[in-house]
Amino acid sequence: MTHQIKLTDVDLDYFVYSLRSQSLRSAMFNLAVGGKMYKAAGDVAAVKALSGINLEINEGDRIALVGHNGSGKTTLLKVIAGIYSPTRGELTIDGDITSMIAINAGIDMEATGLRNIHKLGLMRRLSRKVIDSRVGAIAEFSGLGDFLHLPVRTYSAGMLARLMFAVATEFEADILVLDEWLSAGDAAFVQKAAQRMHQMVQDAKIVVIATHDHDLVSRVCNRVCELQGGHIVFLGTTEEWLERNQALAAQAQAALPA
Amino acid sequence: MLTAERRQEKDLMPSSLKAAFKDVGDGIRLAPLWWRLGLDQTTSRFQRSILGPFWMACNLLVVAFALAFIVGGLMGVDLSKSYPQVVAGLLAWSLVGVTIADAQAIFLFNAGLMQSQRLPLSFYVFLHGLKAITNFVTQMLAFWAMMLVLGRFTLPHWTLLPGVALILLNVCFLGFIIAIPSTRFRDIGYMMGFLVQMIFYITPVFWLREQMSEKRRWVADFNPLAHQIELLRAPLTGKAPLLMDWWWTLGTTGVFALIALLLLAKFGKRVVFWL
Repeated sequence: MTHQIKLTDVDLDYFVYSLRSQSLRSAMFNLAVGGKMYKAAGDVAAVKALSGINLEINEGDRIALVGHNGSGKTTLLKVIAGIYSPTRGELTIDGDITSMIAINAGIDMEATGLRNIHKLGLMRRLSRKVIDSRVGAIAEFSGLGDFLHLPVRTYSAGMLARLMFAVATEFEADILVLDEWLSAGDAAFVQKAAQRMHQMVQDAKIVVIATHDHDLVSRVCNRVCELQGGHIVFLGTTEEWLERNQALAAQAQAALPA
Repeated sequence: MLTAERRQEKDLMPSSLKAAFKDVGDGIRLAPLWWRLGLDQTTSRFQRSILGPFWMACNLLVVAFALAFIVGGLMGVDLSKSYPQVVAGLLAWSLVGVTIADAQAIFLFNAGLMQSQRLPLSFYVFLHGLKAITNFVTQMLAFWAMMLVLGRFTLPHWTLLPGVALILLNVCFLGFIIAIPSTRFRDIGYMMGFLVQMIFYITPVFWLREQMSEKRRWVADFNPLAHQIELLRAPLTGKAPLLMDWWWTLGTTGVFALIALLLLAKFGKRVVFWL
């Protein structure tokens, strides 16, 4: 099976509900005044987070989503991961997606490290057998040793990060969806983590990563998709993107009064 | 904004209805996952307690004693007679009523997960149903143990099984019906608290329909929850439920199923934005 992600004319309207509009009172109030006050009060803001996104990601692609904060990177990532369904347009995905948008979602602070490894494995839809066979490797990589028998709430932030990282990167993924490059722990661990992360990215069929790190883009990705205000402003290879950046920088330089 | 939303959804109605069915189908296919996750959550919830889930059972037995004592006194019924009746009623309520109170938080409770991983909405509803049934079963074990101790144990009627299955279906549909709007409107969560308490009193949970004066008996006759309670309580006390209770419960389940499906079709895609 070849793996592919395809977005055709995808729009996403993001409705932001302020505290007031989440109450029934204002909805009834809204009913009484015919909806005008409601809107005038600016309680619900419809943000067009993505518009007219056409994107085809094929097997072997390592695509970076870049852009300023609020440009729609994470939203697009969440659409690809299937968390948000497009308001309009079509999204087809061939392959199993592993999203690492918030790797510590689903962690149970009262349960032991080992139990959490099992639980997170379950959430990745892995069978008990597969998880059991990998627990040793996860324990070793995380370097937490006997701490794995203690409840996670007793861990320091660094220890927790190590555990989450070890679990997240242990199981291979078809399509890997990442919000920023994963890293964790102290200096020695960071080194180990980088290696492992590279391995995982190498093994995946498709990688989609939202990032601000330009070095990372040129190191890891072969394609770049730049977003601005929910539109794609650039889509091409990494080389083209780097050239474009240089050209833009030169232009900016030239525009400066000498 | 609301009208724009509505217009859009209308055009999509057939496909969104399809999406609703798909959501439920996907949720059913994920049964192994919610099954293990649900059991895991139940055990970890009581990890630091000695009696674990049986605290719920203790709660049932003690509250039933207090209610049976008071109601028995008011109605002039012997405690040994009213107690089994009241415990069975409360036990039935733990599946029928308590789940209504808990349903408002189904999605809010799982907000973190919903925003980081794609799972069908029905997944969370089934998880809620599983929790409800595990609670019910542990309390039922305590109920039987208590009845044995009191020497009043009666073999449950076989209709208990289909009854529980039907009520469970009801719990799931009601889960959608309550959870979807209360994710959007947070006030519903607070409202459910007192609403459920009020329903508890007007439903024959700790009293019997026959004990009510005829003029006010309609509160039990036209109350769908009363029939659901009876559907469980009768077999728990060794009797077959009335045919009328079956019809009522089947009817409400059908209506709830329809409403749940429509809500899911219309707002299923939106829920994640409401979190």
